[in-house]
Amino acid sequence: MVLITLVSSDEQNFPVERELLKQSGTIETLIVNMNLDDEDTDAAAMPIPLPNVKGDVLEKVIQWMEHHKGDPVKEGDNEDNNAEIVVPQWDDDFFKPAMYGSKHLELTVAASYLDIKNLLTLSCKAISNTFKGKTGPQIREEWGVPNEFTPEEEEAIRKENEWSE
Amino acid sequence: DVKLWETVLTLFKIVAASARPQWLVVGIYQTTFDSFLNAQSICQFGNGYIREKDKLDEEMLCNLPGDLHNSLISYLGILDRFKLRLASKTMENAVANSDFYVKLDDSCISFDVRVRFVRDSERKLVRRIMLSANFDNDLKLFSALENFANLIVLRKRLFKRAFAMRISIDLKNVHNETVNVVESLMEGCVFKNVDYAIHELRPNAQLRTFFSRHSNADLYLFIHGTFVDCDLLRSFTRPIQIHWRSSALPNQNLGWTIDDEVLIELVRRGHSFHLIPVVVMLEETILTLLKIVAASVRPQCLDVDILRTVYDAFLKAQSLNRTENGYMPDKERTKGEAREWDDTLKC
Repeated sequence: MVLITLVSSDEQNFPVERELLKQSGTIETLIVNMNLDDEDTDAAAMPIPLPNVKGDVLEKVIQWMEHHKGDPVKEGDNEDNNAEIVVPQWDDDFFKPAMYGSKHLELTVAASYLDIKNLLTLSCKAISNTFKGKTGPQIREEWGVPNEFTPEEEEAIRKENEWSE
Repeated sequence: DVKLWETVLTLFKIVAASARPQWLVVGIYQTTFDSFLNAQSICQFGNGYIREKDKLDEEMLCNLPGDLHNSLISYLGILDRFKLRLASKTMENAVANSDFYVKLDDSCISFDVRVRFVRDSERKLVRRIMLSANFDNDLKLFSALENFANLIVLRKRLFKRAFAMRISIDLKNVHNETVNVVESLMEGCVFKNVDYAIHELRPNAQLRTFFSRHSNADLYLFIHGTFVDCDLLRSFTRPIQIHWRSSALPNQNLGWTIDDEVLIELVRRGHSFHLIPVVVMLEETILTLLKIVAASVRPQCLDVDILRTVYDAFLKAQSLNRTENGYMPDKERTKGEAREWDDTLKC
């Protein structure tokens, strides 16, 4: 089993199975471009630094990839019917402990940076599910977003919203 | 009544480690609970609790990159987008810059404009141009004439680009300037097909500008009633489909016709015509039209009226005879291969 070492921004090392990394477009491109696949070269032993991902987040990403090992990897832009995407139970349980916390958002940013399309899709869908059916102030409270609107601005938006049926 | 915060922690650990679901309802002194939260670095967050270290950076949701905001919003229907706009200015801006995938069954954005006479506050009849824009099952925007500006502003605040397979525009007895309003609402709409229906509207500069701007789309032009500008038809350089509604075929008072020469010119450009108000006068025209359509690289349909005498002359010139089901050459007729010829001619 070929292992490739990922190094997080806080310099933690994570030896990861080569097969798992095919889920990440960013890492896969690096491996191919730098010949890290070639066991006969020195490059194979070279660790891959990921300066934009913290160790605890990278650990979660690897945990997610391990569970989804063998899943078909999405290619190209997301043109699915977004309304039909359902977050599977395992993923829902995976995201839930960090929901409404910065960890979930960091995980989403990491999925985007590492170009792990399935993780990004499910993570975004899980976040957007928390917006559904909620009012603006409820979303503010749940996600700890400060209220930037003056009462007049808020009223203006409410009036605009009345244009829809 | 639990008095020690350590007891709370122990109970939590036992329940968390339990192999089967376990419920525990006990009373805890407020001071005990506060001490427990404090000792575990847990703070209140919304309706629940969260570890201090996991507490959301207040700016983080708003500071996500634009493409992630777009992804988050893409999963929301239009009504949830409306509500999200009220969460923060960043979210309001993110919604305005988001993409919108039309989720109607036929993936069609439709605009319907018509004139209505309504009574004002003094009970006088006044003319109003009513516009309804249908972007989604949940989003139907309505406006009377003086509110067009607001409608356009709102449309710009809901999405930057809309993706639909088709855009349907139906103008009923309206002033020409309405074309501009529809075009403003369409701004940013990404589409492959446009259905444009005209009712008793005299073609004008705005309409021509609209067609030339959207010449890359697969245009399907429905014409209801009289259509007095042959020059507009000749102005299309890309193939379009033109359909006169059968209920509104032009009558004898139309005052203009498309002659054979213009018809050939238009068909040569690749246009398809359905129920076009033209009567082919020359047998040579039929042959020319058939040759053009047969040589066309894209499917092309032509539905025209032909004088019976002209048609019979055409058949004769091509050595074709009528049969019960179709036509075949004289010499073939005797061989009894009518079925094969029927199929050929039907194609």
